[in-house]
Amino acid sequence: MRIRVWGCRGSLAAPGPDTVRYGGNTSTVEVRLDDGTLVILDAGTGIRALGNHLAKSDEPIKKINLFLSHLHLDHVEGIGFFSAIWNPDVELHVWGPPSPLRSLQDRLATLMSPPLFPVHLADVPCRPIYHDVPDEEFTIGGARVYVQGVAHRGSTVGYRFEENGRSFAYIPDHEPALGQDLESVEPEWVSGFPVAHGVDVLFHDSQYTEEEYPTHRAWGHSSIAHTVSFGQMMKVRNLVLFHHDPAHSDEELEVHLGRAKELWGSNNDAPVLAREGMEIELPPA
Amino acid sequence: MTEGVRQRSVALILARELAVNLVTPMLIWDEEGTLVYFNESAQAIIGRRYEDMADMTVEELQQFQPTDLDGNPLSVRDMASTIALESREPAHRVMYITALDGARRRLDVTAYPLLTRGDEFVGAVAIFWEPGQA
Repeated sequence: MRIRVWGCRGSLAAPGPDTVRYGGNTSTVEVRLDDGTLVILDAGTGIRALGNHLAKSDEPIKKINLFLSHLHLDHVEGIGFFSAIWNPDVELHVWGPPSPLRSLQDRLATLMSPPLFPVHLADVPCRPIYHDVPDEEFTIGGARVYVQGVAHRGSTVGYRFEENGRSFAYIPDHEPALGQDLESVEPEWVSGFPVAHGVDVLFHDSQYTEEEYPTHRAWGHSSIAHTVSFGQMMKVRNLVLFHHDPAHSDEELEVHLGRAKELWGSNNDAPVLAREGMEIELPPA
Repeated sequence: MTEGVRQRSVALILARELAVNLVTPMLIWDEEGTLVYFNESAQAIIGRRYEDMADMTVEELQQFQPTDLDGNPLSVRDMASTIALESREPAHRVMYITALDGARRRLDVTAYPLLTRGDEFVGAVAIFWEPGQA
């Protein structure tokens, strides 16, 4: 399994000289499974560059599985600019959390319709196929996929992929510490537990500093300290701080990383900051 | 891949956290009708700590010797929590119980089921109070 970050900014794209090192595009992560299957996590603004990259590939992409963690704008706003959707030869499967009232297609169509967008979603040439994520484990390519609802504003899921003995979890927007002390609660009462438990790599929300969190409580995001506590509780081997606040410059993110390392101590490898272009290889165990 | 690793439903987690942060007495039941939490205010009425009562089932509510206002025994089936758990409908009852500290208390109880997306039933919440102390 190979993981590549195309966007790791939270809430709003934040390009500019202050965000060059970690990037300003919103959430998009490419996952290449060992059998070549292409999985994309979220369709933030980072998916535009990924689409361009795929279009230049020597081997044309025929099938894509796009997994949406939720439908907040920063996770879907790039979909209309993803070149693959304009290619009728691409088979695009879009997966997302279910709603009791409206289909995934209907909810996405709100974004891709006038006056917000000039073309209706129903008219895009690749004719996406929509799926509510199932409650039970399922298989994509050679990977087993597990999906679980997690604590965030609105219907939101986290994803866990396991392939050839390696595991990767993606929970970009998550507030497991809402109303409770992660240090004192049993794991089964912590949102995201089965998704993140014992994974090789966890990408996790780390939007706020400890100082910022109190004024953003219940907004659906974590502080650096919560993210570290969650990662330690889940016994993850590599914690990747993801969903950077758009107000945080590269320099500030590096200060936050220092704090995360201090809190992490000597458990496994120290946390790292997600950055555009970051690649993580998880060879078969 | 996740064998033996279980997470409670997010709705149940958030209901419990609501209870933790409320002074209104509140009990949380899981989908199997097992008591999974009650808050400190509920402890004062029940007369025992949650830690001493964890995993109680609705059947065991009988130990509180519930009666209606006229003193007629109430079946467990007629209690608000049981109705919310078994019929998956909200229910309200006014009753007397004998708390585990021996005190006889009059309670108003409202219980409601927790149904998440796909109409998945994940448990029930019961809030209660003694008249005049709300």
